[in-house]
Amino acid sequence: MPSMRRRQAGFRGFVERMALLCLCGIELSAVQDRPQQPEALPEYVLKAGFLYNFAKYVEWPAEAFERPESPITIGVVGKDPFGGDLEDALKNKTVKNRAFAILRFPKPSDIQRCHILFVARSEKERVPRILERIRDWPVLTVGEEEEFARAGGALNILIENDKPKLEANPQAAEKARLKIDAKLLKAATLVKTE
Amino acid sequence: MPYWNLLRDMPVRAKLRTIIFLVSGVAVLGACAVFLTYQWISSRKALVQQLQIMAEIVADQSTAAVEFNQAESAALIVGSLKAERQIRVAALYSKEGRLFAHYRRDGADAAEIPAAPAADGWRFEGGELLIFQPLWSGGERVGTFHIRSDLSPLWNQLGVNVGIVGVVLVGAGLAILFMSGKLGKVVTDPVMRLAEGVRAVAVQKNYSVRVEGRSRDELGLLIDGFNTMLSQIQARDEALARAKDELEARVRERTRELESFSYSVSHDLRAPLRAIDGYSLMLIEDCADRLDANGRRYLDVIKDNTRKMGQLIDDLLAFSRMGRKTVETAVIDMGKMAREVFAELRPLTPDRPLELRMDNLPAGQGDAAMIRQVFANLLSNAIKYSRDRNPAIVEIGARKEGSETVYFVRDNGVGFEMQYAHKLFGVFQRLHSAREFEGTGVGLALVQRIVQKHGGRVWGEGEVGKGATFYFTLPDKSASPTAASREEAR
Repeated sequence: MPSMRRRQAGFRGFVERMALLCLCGIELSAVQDRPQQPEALPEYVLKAGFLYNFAKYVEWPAEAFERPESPITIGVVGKDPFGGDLEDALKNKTVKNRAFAILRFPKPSDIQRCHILFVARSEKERVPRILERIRDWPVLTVGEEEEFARAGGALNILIENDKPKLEANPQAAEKARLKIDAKLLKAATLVKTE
Repeated sequence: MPYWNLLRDMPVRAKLRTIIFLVSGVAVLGACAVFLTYQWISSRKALVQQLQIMAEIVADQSTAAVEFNQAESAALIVGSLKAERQIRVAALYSKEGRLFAHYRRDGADAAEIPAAPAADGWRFEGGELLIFQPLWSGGERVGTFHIRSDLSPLWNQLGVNVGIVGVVLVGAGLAILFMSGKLGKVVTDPVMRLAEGVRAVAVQKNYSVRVEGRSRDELGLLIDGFNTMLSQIQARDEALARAKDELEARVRERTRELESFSYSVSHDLRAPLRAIDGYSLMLIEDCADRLDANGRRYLDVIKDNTRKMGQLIDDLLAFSRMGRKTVETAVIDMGKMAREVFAELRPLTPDRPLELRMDNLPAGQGDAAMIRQVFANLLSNAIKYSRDRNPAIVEIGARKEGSETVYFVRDNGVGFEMQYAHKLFGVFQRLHSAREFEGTGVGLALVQRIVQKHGGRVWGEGEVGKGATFYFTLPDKSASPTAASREEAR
């Protein structure tokens, strides 16, 4: 039964990917906490880890922070898919001596200044509005829907064949006065604003 | 030890060259060995450094790919090592040690990729260099990068270095060969010149050679000493030759004086002897009747002794004259001459049983009158000293010996004791008393003088009671008389 076998391979690949999550700074125990729901939660455990990792490869302009030790603020706009995973992923983490702060914006109009803005799937239709709102701010926008990067988002995390796929729009990042490490750009698929 | 013997028996030039070659060869080889060792160590170090830097760069480049789980871009980054041919295998491991991406050179076995990373750092293992490089990102360790490289750069470098060493060795060898030849001359040339000088002295007895040498070292001293020694020997030789010449001249002078003295003495002795003889004769003829038997007997004794004395004086005169005579060389039929002389002597003792044995004699070169005198004296001696034999046998013979002919006259008479042989040829030297055998003791001396004038030798062999043999030689080319006879001929 080939279909069955493919499924098993897919599952095994997924378990392996689970382990990979630790690369992204997520404790293995966190994965094991929810063994019954591997489909939904690990995706956001992975994405939470990615958000943390992005902070390592992106440089904000000096005026983006009030003080050298000011935290990196991560905002989530729309229906929050992380639950507590984002807090778990960022607990006790620092990047260049900066801790993390998390803000949630239910509606695009709620968006305030932050350093990383995660656009949840629920905001698929409102992407242009969201981008318009943060136009002049040095904000790293991160999405999870097909057209996000091409629409002007800086980074996009997609899942293809159970594998994470990164899209980067250097043009958009430049517009937001952000410097994305070449290593990250190399790891990602580069797209342009359409 | 045989090697030392080999070196010992070599000519100095080869010896010097061999020593220079050995010593500088050891030095050059040592330097080359040090060079190769140093190069091997430093190129190992360089390889480690180079691969470490490479590993660091690749590890740094691949952090994002590992952190964002981008296996494809990780494989791309790792695959960029393809340009480095010595790298057999490269691999990226996740934080947990799971193989994440890898690169494998054509021909490299999949088994060469470790399933899990080993301890960080580098090490040589089985002819390969293994490096495990940690991946760091934002102060966190996110994985491990591994490189396995063969040592082909090391071997290539070694090949180049061996080539360099080869060129250096050949170049140094040629330079040493050239320079040892040039520089060695400074030592070997004086030695060679000295050896040539020694050879000239030893083989040709040429003491006039001098060895050139201007160096101020021990060799120069040796050459100076050699030359000085030669000068001394030469000076001594010349002094010796001069002394010999002087001595010979003086001897000749004395001999001439002695000869003229003995000639005048014997000549002057004749006059009183003639008077004694004459008056004794007159006394016998005129006054014989007035003398009694005793008186007549006394007169007979006087007459007899006068005759003997006359004979003595004649012999002495003949001997003295021989010193002044010139040798007139002609070819002589020796056999004919010997026969004639024997025929002349035979009638003097007609009653005796006497036998002549003689083969054909080779012709000789000499003064016919003088050689006749030689035969006369030798044959008369042979006949005289064999008178008690019955029959008396006189034998004449000859044999060729090299460039001369040896003639001999043999008898079976009383002979003589060999220990007195040296006295045979002295003037007035006699081995028998005049009472036993009459004679003046001049005959053999005369023979010797004549033969020597002809450049020959004379000697006698004998045994008491068994006879005597007298030999004389004549050189085949007596046409060119010896220096001595020429001297005396003057």
